Parts: sequence; structure tokens; C-alpha cells
Amino acid sequence: MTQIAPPISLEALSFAYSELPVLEAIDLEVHNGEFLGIVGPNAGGKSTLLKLIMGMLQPQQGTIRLFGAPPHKTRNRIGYVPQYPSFSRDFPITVEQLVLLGRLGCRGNSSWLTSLLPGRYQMADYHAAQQALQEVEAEPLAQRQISSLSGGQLQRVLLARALAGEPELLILDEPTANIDQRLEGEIFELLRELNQRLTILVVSHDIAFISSYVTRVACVNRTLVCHHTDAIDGSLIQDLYGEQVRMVAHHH
Amino acid sequence: MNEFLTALSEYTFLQSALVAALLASIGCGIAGSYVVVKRITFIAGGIAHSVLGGMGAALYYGVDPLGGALFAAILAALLIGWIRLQWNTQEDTLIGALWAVGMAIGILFISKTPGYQTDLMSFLFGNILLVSEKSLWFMGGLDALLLLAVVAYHRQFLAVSFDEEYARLRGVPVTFFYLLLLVLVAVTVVLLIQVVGLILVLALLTLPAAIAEHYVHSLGRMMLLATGVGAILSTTGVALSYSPDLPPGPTIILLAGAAYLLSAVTARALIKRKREKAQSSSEAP
Repeated sequence: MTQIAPPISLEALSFAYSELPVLEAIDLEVHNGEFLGIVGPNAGGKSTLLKLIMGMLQPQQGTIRLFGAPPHKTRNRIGYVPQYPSFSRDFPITVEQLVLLGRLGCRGNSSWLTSLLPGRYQMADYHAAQQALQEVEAEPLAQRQISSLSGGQLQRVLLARALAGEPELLILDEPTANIDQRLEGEIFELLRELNQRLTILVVSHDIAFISSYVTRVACVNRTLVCHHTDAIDGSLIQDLYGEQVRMVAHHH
Repeated sequence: MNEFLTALSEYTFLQSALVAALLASIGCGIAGSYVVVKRITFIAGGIAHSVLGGMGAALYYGVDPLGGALFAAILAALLIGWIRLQWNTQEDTLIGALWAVGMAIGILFISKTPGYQTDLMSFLFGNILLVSEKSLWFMGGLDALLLLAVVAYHRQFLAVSFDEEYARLRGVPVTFFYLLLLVLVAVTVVLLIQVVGLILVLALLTLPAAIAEHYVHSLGRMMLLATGVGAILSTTGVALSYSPDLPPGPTIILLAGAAYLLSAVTARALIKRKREKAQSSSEAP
């Protein structure tokens, strides 16, 4: 049996916006089934790293492999949950229709020809959308207008859109930045369950909180350093953020 | 109104006018809905006005002006789409420039065309009472094209109008479908020029869809309702303008503006009442 390519593999990756270097010499390999947290200060390059991984930006140096191929060829195997939704909340669309959009590009490989297939959703698409909504416990919302959702509900719906595409890798950018703390725990419990079948990569500013869920933490501040969760303590956080940060110890 | 109805049974030009109004409303229902939800009214305006360049050139070289309009509209749509994708930051300046340059080209051509200048007014403000049978067939063909494109690609168009970033991630060729969407808008502009002329096109393109948006919550229903609203507004406009001998184009637009205002006020009142109702029922034990 040939070895399966890792979900994400970055080698000597560097990126700069015009003159300003954002990421330098990043090496990272995310293994199958891993739950990786990415932390770091604001403007440290976390979101840029995600955009590179998803093929929305091109690196100046280094290589990016997503399931062993260039990102634009295999990115339909990603489910992505953005920090800020890139759509307007008053768009006339129901939750079900929004989740169904996550089904686009599911048929076959993502070649030009299949992306031009005309027509409507199949039964399988409706079924997958319904299942995704069930999984995030948002099924009763299916026929609701998105403008009528609360922040936490919208977050669940966006997660459902990502899951509807039957991804192998789930990428979340600050999934809990816009919701209250009780919901934050619920979302991460959900992610822990999903991690049994999916590789998960989650960006967060809250290192103390996520370290109880993730298996490995990558700290991004222009460069990238990986730590196993047991190694995270006050001095590491201080190194990363450059000042004294109050940290709540959590022992399990 | 009675006078209009008896005239309608007698004169074929009035019957043609009504058919033209109905054909145009299909376009304003479909493309207008995309324009409203994707907030590209300014882009649609740029396309509509630069069409004069094509019409003027067609007139000068003795070709059918509608053909020239279609060619110019599609060219303008592709050019504007390309500008938006390449120079995002200066988008509004460049579209504004294209808007005026297109019109200037048109005026120059028309001024150098020998013969009467009356055509200019009907290009700018439309003349639905002069629609020929040939134009009706042309309009019907454009409608068929629009319907075909939307039936085939409604999922992709929804993805691109709703969330371009996510559509790209799902492998939807966003650039292709964005440009195709603008071409559909261009086709619709040409449809509507027959009815209200290219200056007033913008109102008929957006107002019926904006009215529909007050009441429905999906793009498909919005298109159906906007088509209906457009049909009612344009036929009523033609009927109202007949007895006092007013130009039908501006009458239709004034009617559409009034209907939008009324609808906006009503919709707001409805939402307020709904909210109060929900509040009082949640307060009750």
C-alpha cells in the first residue's frame, strides 16, 4: 500500500505583502486525524497562513501541498469556517440554501469541466445538507432567513456549510470570536467529536482555552514553532506575546 | 382607462407596446434581482449608459441599432467586469469614466449621422409605442437566452452573488460566472432600452426587484415576484400615459418610484407590527 499524502504539508514557505514580510521559512506537516491549534498575536500572519493553505494567495517562496497536490486542485476536500462571513446578512437566502452551497464542487474531481455542470441539486445534496445541519444541531433552523439568526446560530450554520461538502480537513478561523463563552465550549465539544473522523485545524487567539482540546499547537508570529499541548506554560506564552499574559491553569 | 382599453383593441401598436412591456419585465425580474442582491447598481448603470456608444456607431454605419446596442452592452459588461477584478481599488472611478466615455462616443457618432436626430431621444428615454414586430422577436430571443442561462446555472450564480470567497473555495470558476452574470445584465439592459430608454433603465432594472425583496426571502421567489411587479408597473404605465398623451417611459419610472416608496413604508410598518406582536406574545405567560 502506498503512503497516503498528509492533509497539509508546508516547506520553507515565505510570504510578503509587497515589501512587508508576513511569514518566513514556515515548515509544517499536519497529519491525518490531528487537531492542530494555530495561535499567535494579531497581525502575526495566522489568517495569511490559512489563505495560503487554501490557495487564495500564492507564496513567494516554498511549496504548499494539500493532500499531496497544489491547493487549488484539492481544496474542495476542505471545509472552511471563516471568522467574518464574507457575505451580507440581509441577503435573501435560507439556512438550507446556504448549507447547500457547500455541496458545490462535490461531484468528482474539481476540474474545469465538472465545475461547469449545469442543473440543480440532487437528492444526495439535500441529504448531505440535512445531515450536516443535524450534526451541528441546527436542523430546526433550516427554513429560517439568515438575517434572523443569532451570532451563535450563524456560526453553527457556517460549520454545517463546511461539513456539507463532506470534507476530510476542517479549517476554522477564530470560530468562537463572535459568540459568548458558553457557546464556545459547545462548539469545541462538537469539534472534538468531529475530530474522530476529520483532521481539524483551528486558529484562535485564546491559547489557554484551546490547549485542552487540541493535540498540538503551532505558534505563528512571522515564523512558526510547534508545541505539544503538554509543553504549554506561562513562559512559552510570554515568549510568544512578548509580555506578561494572565493564564488560567487547567489540569485534566 | 376605458379610452385606453378601446384603443387597445383597435391599434396594433398598443398591443405591441404591451407585449414589449411584458417581455421586458421578465428581464427586469431575473437580472434585476441579481443586481439588487449583489449591490451592483452602479455597474449596471455603467453598462446601460455606455451602450449609447454602440447604438450611435450602429446608426452611423447603417446597421440595426439594437444589434449595436447588444454588442456594446456585452463589451461594456466584460470591460467593467475585468476592471473590477483587476483594479478593485479604483473601480468606481474607472466605471464612472467608462459610463461617460461611452455616451460621448455615441453622441459624436449620432451628430455625424445625416438625417433626423429624433432617434437620440428615443434611445435616451425609450419609445415603447414604436416597437416593431421584429424588435418583439428580438426581445423574446433575449428573454429565452436569460431564462436558459439562469435555469442551467442558478446554483453557481447564487454562489457567486452570495459569497465569492467560498464559491472559489468550492471550485466554482468565479471570474467566469461573474462575467456571465454581467453579460446577462447587459442583455437585460438592451431589453429595457426599448421600453424606457437607456437613461431610465436603471430604475426599471432595480425597483421591481427591490420591491420584491421587501416581501420574499429567496432569490427564486424574488425573481418571480419582481417579474410580476415589473409587468404590472410597465403595463399600467403605458395605460396611464395614453389618455393625457404623456411619454410612456417616464410615466412608468415615476410609477415605479412611487410604488417603491409605498412598499418601503409598508414593509417597515409590517416588520414593526410583527416585532411588537412577538414581544407581546413572549411577555404573556
